[in-house]
Amino acid sequence: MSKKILIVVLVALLLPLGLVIAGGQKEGGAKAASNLMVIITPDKDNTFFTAEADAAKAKAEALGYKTLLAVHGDDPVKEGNLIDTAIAQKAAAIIIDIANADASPNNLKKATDAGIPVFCMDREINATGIAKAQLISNNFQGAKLGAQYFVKLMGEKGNYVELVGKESDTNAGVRSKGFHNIIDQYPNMKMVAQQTANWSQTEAYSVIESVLQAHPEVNGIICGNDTMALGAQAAIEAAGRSDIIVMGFDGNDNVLASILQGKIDGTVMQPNAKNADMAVELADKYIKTGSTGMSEEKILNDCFLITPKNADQWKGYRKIK
Amino acid sequence: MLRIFKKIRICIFILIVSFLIIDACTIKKINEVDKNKSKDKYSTWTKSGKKFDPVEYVNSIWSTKLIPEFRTKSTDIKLVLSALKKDRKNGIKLYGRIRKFGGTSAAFRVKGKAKVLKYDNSSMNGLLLLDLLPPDGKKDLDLQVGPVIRQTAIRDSADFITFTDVGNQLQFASLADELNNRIKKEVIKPLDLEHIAGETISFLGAFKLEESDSIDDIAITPIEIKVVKTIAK
Repeated sequence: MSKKILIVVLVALLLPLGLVIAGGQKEGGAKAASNLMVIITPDKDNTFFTAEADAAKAKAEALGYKTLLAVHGDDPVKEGNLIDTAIAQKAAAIIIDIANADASPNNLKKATDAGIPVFCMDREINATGIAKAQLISNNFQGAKLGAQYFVKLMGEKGNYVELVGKESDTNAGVRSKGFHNIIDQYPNMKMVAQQTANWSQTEAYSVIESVLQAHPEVNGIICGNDTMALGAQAAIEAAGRSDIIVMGFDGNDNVLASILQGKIDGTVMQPNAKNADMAVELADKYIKTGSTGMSEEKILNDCFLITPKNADQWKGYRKIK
Repeated sequence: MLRIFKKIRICIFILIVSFLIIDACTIKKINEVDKNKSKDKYSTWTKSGKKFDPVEYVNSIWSTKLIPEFRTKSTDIKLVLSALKKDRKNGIKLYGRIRKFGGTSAAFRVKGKAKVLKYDNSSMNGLLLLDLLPPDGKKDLDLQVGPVIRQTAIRDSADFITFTDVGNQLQFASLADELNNRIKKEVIKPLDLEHIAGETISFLGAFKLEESDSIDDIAITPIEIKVVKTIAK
């Protein structure tokens, strides 16, 4: 009886060690079982994410891979199911814009445990050693860049509104913090309202419509993304105002057009296509050589300020001039 | 004999159970938990699993690693400027620090001596307008003296600071903020800005050059400023 217990205890203690050994063997012996790249992004209705998925797909196909595209809708559970599918299909690599910085690492680990390398683009995970590379859009730097330009256009003073993105999205908070990191240093910049419009154009329209009625003194609106900036622009036009500074974030083509027309004052271009290109290129290199060749796992790609001076130089999140 | 064996068995069992319980918990002091709550401006994850504290981190590198690196590895600003003006791409290649794949901007560690032409505080981003020695009366570049300090030039030009080690972008940003705070406290505060025009200073610092930035608009973030000569007024 006692011997049995001892054996059980010993086995229980040794079990993790065995897993480590098995895991090590698995990783060492893993070879690409197919030439399929599974590309997972958050959303298919948002042009930002479709552009990202398209860029990754085009790059992967140019390098001779088959592709499978899927969206997780910011849901870690769905993301986990998609990873299971990728494992079942014996994908050569997974290229992903993750659902949640804290929840996604567990999902991604399932893939790496199964010998499938994972490459993150745009959003980062709060872990290292799981993804082979993370090509991250520097949202905080972008937000600071946008806020600096916003403050300059406002003459370092005035009454402004901040439109915040979807609360569940980490980047909504990151951008808001980046805005305030700059704006709060100017005592004459007064925030009269801070409201979420959930990344939505129609919600932004109704929020700004009512804010302008309650606070006609508003002369600046800084937005967490471009679709909300477009909604704000429409509300400003409907109110017959033309004296309000509007700043966006993302660099979508509609906003670039608005900037050239003088309806929106500026935005921040995310290195969206570049992140996708690089993630696929590094995946390709890893599949072929067993290494990404990079000294760092996490690579932070900076955003660019877009003003009427350079808005014509970009299209589809790519520099064309 | 059997009884002793039973006792040993019980002891082993208790040991294993308590080991498992302790292993699954992290014991924290109450004040530590409260402190984390109130200072929750940035996310708390780091590679080592320890909370990233920008103040503690900057304390640990400021005089032991950061300043020495600037003292030994900075290039004369006149050399950098003339190289950039002659051939921007080559100047960046020669003296800039470009992070692999990390965008098109480059950071430069520089040193120099200059006469202060003016203290311009018309913006919150206060500047010293500098005329590099030998002075010709014309402004060559700006030096940022706050209270708003733009860019993250010091962080991005230091060789030993890497993003992967620091954690996520919020922590990386909090590090740049703390470096700027430290600069305001240790480099700028001791200066008599109202009376600095006309003085000659030597400086160590850094600047960043984005693709769209003009070389004529360079504003250096200082990490050391020394007034070297006082001109009688």
